[in-house]
Amino acid sequence: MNGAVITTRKRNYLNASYTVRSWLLTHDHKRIGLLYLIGVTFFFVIGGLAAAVVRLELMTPRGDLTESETYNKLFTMHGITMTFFFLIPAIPAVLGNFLVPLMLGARDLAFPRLNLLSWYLYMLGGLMTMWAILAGGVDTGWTFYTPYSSTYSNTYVMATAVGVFVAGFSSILTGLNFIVTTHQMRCPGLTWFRLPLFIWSMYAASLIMVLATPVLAAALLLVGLERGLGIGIFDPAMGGDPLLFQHLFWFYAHPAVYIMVLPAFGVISELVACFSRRRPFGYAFIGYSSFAIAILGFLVWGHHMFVSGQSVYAGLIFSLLSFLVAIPSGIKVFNWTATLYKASISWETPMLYAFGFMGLFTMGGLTGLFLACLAIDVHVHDTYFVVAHFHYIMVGGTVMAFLGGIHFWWPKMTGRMYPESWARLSAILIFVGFNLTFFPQFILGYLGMPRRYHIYPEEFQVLNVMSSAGASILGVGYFFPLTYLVWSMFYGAVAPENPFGHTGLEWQTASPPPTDNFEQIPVVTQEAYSFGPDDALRGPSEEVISIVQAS
Amino acid sequence: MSQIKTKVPSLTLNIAVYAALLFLLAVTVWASRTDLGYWNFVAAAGIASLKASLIVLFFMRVYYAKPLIWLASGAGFVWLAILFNLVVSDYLTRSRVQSAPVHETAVYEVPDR
Amino acid sequence: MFKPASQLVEVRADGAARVAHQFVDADQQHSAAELGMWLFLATEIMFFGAFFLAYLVYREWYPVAFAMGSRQMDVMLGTVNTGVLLTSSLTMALAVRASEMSQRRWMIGLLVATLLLGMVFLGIKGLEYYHKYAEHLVPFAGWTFAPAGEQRTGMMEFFNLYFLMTGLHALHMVAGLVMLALLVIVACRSPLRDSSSIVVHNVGLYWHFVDLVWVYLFPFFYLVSASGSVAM
Ligand SMILES: [Cu+2]
Repeated sequence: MNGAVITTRKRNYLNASYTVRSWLLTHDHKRIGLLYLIGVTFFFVIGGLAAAVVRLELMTPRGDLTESETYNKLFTMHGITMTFFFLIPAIPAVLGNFLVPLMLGARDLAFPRLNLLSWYLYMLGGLMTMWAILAGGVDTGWTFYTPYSSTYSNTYVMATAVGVFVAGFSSILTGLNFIVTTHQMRCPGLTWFRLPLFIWSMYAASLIMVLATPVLAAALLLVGLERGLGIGIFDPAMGGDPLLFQHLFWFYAHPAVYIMVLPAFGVISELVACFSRRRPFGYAFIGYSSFAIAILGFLVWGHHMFVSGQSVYAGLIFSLLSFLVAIPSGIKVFNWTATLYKASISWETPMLYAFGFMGLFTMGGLTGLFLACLAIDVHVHDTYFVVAHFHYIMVGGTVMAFLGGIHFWWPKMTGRMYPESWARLSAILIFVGFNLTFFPQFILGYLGMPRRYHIYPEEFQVLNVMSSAGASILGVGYFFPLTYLVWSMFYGAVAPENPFGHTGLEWQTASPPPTDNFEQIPVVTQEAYSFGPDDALRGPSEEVISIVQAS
Repeated sequence: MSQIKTKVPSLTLNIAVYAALLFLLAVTVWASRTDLGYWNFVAAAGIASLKASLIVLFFMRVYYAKPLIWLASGAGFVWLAILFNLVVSDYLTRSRVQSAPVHETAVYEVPDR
Repeated sequence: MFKPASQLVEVRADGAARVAHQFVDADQQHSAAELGMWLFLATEIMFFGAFFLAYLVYREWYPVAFAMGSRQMDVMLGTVNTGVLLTSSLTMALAVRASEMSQRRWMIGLLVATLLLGMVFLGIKGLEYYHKYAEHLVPFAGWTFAPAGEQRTGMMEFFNLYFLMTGLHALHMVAGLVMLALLVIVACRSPLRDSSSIVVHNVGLYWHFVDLVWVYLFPFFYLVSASGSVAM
């Protein structure tokens, strides 16, 4: 333990300076990552509170807690906050910002000032949206469908759209920064096929951020111009087609699902490799499949429009292409499973989240195939089946991976260990709570309960109560990490350089790293995930075991 | 400090590209005056693309650039082609559905409860 | 025909480059800046692409109205403006060349020329907008829209798109003019460095991109054939 104490006394990026100014004007990717962590946590709490009220209202078949208008605003607030201000930036902007330069052996991202700017844009967009919600709310749903959003809604659509538009630029700049950094700033010897899989998937997600987000910006701009100026591109009275908005919106919003879930794949690849002490089975295939998903993800958006008046022929094509996405996704899941086969697996908290991810993402993905079926979609479109499906992907997938990743790299970010037994307990609570919340929704949807209504027939009440009960467990599960992680920053055991015995450059430097990341720019001579012959037997370092036993 | 070596296209080349652009401008105006029917749009879009390629390759120097820059400059156009193709596939086939024969539509009596 | 590759002149700029701390050397910084700019332009292509898509869809829906709308355009002014913009692209390309060859005076002169040509373009554009306003061809913001008859809605869409797309293009021009002005001011005050040529190059890329958008806007709005059919 002596060695570890000396490590933390060294100059690092956290104790380099303490002023508020030094944080708000920092160019250090690690500090910006932490600023993002504060931001996404804040918006996660806001979005979560909205969901809590929604679930409370749905306990009874009648509308007794909120008015219908209020209910519309609540689910819109939940959707907009969670997608644009939590899920999209969560893994890329927090973990990606922190890890990409470290994993590449670089001193910082290629454009540090741009990186800081993107945090400000994100916060500005988020606060504008929050202002719109406080001032009176929005009721369009997170999808802003025309003509409701452009013509009929009397709520704060404009302010919200501007907020999302601004936050979109932050996403674009982050993606641009990652792509340039990955191309230009890899340290000597770090060839593409020696990169950690997290970098592969961050790169693929960045491609989507750069190429899809501008189309969302264009769509929102057109909604704004139609509301504000009457430039009616989507207005039938001026010869426009409201459905064109859906094309533009989903050209962004379907790939956006992969902005959320590709980085999650990257985290899971790292976790699976580390806690089974193995180079991932089919390293190259996992890497390629990230690109395949990024590209195929752009070809399938029409599956959101099967019943909206889109041509049936286009629907056929979109249905077929949607099925194809299952192939690269399946490649990933099977390769992770093969990595685990007969490996010496250890069960630290991050690995619990990784197991949770693999199960829940698989269910979310498979139900996605149901929805890609033209005929089945007619039955379950806009029902709770869809709601359950995408929550399995986004909450069961992205949020699980985000929490797993936060725990895994927490020692590196803060220099402190999280309390292992609390962390395991909350990982299990989250898994149980999640399934109890969302599994009943599959059944509800299949039985025909439509989404976005707060009044429903009596016979749906039992399943809705189950769902709400699960949501309360889930809420408790999320509350634990929020508290013990903050606690651990001050009182947690001091973390060694490489507590989990993982390969990768980020573990070769101090915890927390110095401002310039490395004493010397590293030179890579090995493949990624070159666990030594002893690693299979080794498990986590002894310091960690003693910490776990003490807690 | 290292110094950057750059390859600079010559003055004559720049002027030649400029002359070609002006020539194509004249051609596109002329082509629009001639009734080519169906092909007027193709001609306009084609000439515009030719002009665009000249600008991208020579004024924007992609012709001399590394493969990575070729990729980065092409990516936007490739992704745009995806967007255009799939959306247009919807619009071009939508009317066929609307004009489908109506006589197959059945009317069901809904009994009173 | 010329063989472009053989026309290359190799140049070595004088003065030391300033390398930011995250980069290993000036080469890395240079490549990063160029790649970054191209990725930014890719986002711009997608952004404008969405509006071009709307144009294609509605031109397919309203071929006759689009041809009628196009007849209201001033082809003469449009052609002149295209010429102005193409010329500004030439001066910009030559300014980049001058910066790489460390010809500071030439560079400043050519940048100023580009700036002036850009302003001429915006002036002519403003004049055209005024004409359209005076002829009651603005379909939004509560102004009266003169065309009547069965092509009225289609023509509304044509002019919606016209003002939307040329307006966004003009906004991008304004942003480009601001960048050019900043470049001129900085160049007048301080000597050229190795690292300054990449800045001029990147502003040049942006300027050429704006030109490129206009290259498509011009035939799509001014030159829709009177025969009215569309290749789709
Ligand atoms: Cu989708």
